[in-house]
Amino acid sequence: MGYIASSPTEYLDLHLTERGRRLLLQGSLGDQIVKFALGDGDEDYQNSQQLTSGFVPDVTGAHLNCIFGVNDGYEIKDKIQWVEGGQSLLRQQQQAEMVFGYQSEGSYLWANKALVNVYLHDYLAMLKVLALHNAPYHSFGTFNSSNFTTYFSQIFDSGGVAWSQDIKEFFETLEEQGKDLNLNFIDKIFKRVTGTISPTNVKLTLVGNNNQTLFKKFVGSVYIQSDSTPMTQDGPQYGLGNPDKILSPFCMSNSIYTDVNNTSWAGAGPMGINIGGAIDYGYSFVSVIQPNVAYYPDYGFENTIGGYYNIFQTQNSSFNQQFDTTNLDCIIPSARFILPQNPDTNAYFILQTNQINMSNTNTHFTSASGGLQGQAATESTSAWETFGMFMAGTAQYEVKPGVGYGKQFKKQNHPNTNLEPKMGVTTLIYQTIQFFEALELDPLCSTFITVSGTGVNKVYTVPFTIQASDNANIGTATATLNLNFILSLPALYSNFTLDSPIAFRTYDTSQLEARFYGGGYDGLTEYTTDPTHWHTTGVNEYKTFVDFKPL
Amino acid sequence: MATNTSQTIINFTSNFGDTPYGNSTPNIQYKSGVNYIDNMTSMQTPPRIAPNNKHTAGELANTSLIPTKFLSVDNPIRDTSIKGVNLLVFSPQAINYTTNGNVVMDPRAYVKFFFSGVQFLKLNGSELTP
Repeated sequence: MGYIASSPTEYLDLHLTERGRRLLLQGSLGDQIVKFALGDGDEDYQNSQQLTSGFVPDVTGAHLNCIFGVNDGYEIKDKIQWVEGGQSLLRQQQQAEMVFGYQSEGSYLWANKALVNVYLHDYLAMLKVLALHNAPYHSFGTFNSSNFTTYFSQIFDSGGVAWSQDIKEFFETLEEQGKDLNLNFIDKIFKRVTGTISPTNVKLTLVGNNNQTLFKKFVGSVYIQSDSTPMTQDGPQYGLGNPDKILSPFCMSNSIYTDVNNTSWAGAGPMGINIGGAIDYGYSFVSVIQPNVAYYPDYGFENTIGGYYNIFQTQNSSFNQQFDTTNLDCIIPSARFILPQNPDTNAYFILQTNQINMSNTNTHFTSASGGLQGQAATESTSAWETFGMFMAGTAQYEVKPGVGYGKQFKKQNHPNTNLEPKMGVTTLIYQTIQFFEALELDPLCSTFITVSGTGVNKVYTVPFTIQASDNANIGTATATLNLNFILSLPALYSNFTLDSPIAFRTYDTSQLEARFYGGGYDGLTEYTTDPTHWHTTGVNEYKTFVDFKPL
Repeated sequence: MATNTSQTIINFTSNFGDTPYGNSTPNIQYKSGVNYIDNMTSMQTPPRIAPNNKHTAGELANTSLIPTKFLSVDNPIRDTSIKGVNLLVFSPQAINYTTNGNVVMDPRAYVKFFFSGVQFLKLNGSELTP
């Protein structure tokens, strides 16, 4: 064994056993060979010493006793590991490998090499569901909220009971399925040793420079760099000359896994994508300008004090003393979507009184002393439901010159003021479409993404390759994950009405349900209206998992 | 304001604990003993987002702080009695507060929200770490 120059043609004789010849004639030999290895039972090429009996070095050089791998330090794309059987090779079968765990209808699939197609149009369809859920908090024109909340009485749990009977269960089922505000595309990243799968501390690597460039663009809103800077303007460029940078509404996340012994494992999953990363939370210090207005009141504040505050500062006693002498009589939980290109305002989402004065009496909690009670804002523990309160349960506000105050928060309207006000969900849909258009145009990433169709019929596919390795043991073989984020505009437009001039709408009486097309985005012929479903008759919803290397 | 705002906030934090990432970071340790530090509360590096986000006095005062995103909150499924993020509502219109025997003389509500139990990925060269 030794190095072979790449130019000469070399032949490797393969001697088949009788069983192998039979399989060859049956046409299934290729399916039967799942693993094999090359080795030399006489010599350890790494240290010029005779091998001890029964030891065969791995050609990848990954074995700890091999000082310099025969691959000369380069990672081999498709490792040749071992042949099945043969007593002298059993040592190699002890090698650990990283595996991705994928939750599918309650059970886990494990793979060392996998592809996951993530259907972003399904994930974003949940914004429509949030709008339908929050319809009772709105009032405008001839709007009748019950037309839209009826949706929940037309989708059913596995027992045939309408989800409207148990909204808490609806959201928590989605949470358990990994379809919460964070959509898990991989649920666990573990290691497998001799058939046993267990957690470890994980390191993830983006494969290739192009992947890194695209990653910065794709999650350009909130990925964190090594200098702890969480937000960048590395979004894709839109336009020529002096181009705008469109911030991504997405972030990617990977969580600590905590086992039954309460031991935490860094990065062991789940791993997912989240549209909430572009939103931050704090308090608005304001006064309600029209206390008797039930929906979308204006809020006043001064030029030098008031407005949107960080929670860190709000709770700082030396900082918040300045509010004691103001006439601002409200502290209201709020969310904000930073609009970097807008010189006048950001987008603010201030909870309405009707959202705060809730009646879900079963979710009270008490203070540590037991002297005071509060209430959960949502019925479930789902982050989607909380997100919906801010993004769909109240209007989107902007900063305007004040009436009686220096400034005010005022709701933003749809171009047709008889229709719903602007909301966070429709702003995120608009931002997402702009973002994908920019991805397509930005020369730094346009060649890496695939676009089919034109105009409102475009389908985008954004690919990534991520390698998972064991941070605790470099000898563990890596696992490779190919990801395709797929966004179908036709599927998106079936849930959100596009009006002219450009504005998106969620409350459209001709579209009273949310539709999840999953892998059936071609032709839009097949869909489900229930996000707790994993698939329709023919296609998967939310995501599809392909195992390239079954265990 | 009729009631002392700062005292109301102190009452809130003393009764319901510090809001996660408000003034403290959670004590989470990896298996290897490395402390997990949530970068959202870092005061070292101002956000690199465009400077045009200072439209209110509050945002102007925030410029050295990184926005609070409430990802990374430990959030057990199906139990609304524990964890979550407690926030204060103080508004003449928010009247649905409840007390357990004590009398609250001002218009406040204590509200718990649930956020994503996930962590950002940090990019260091080609490596992604939570």
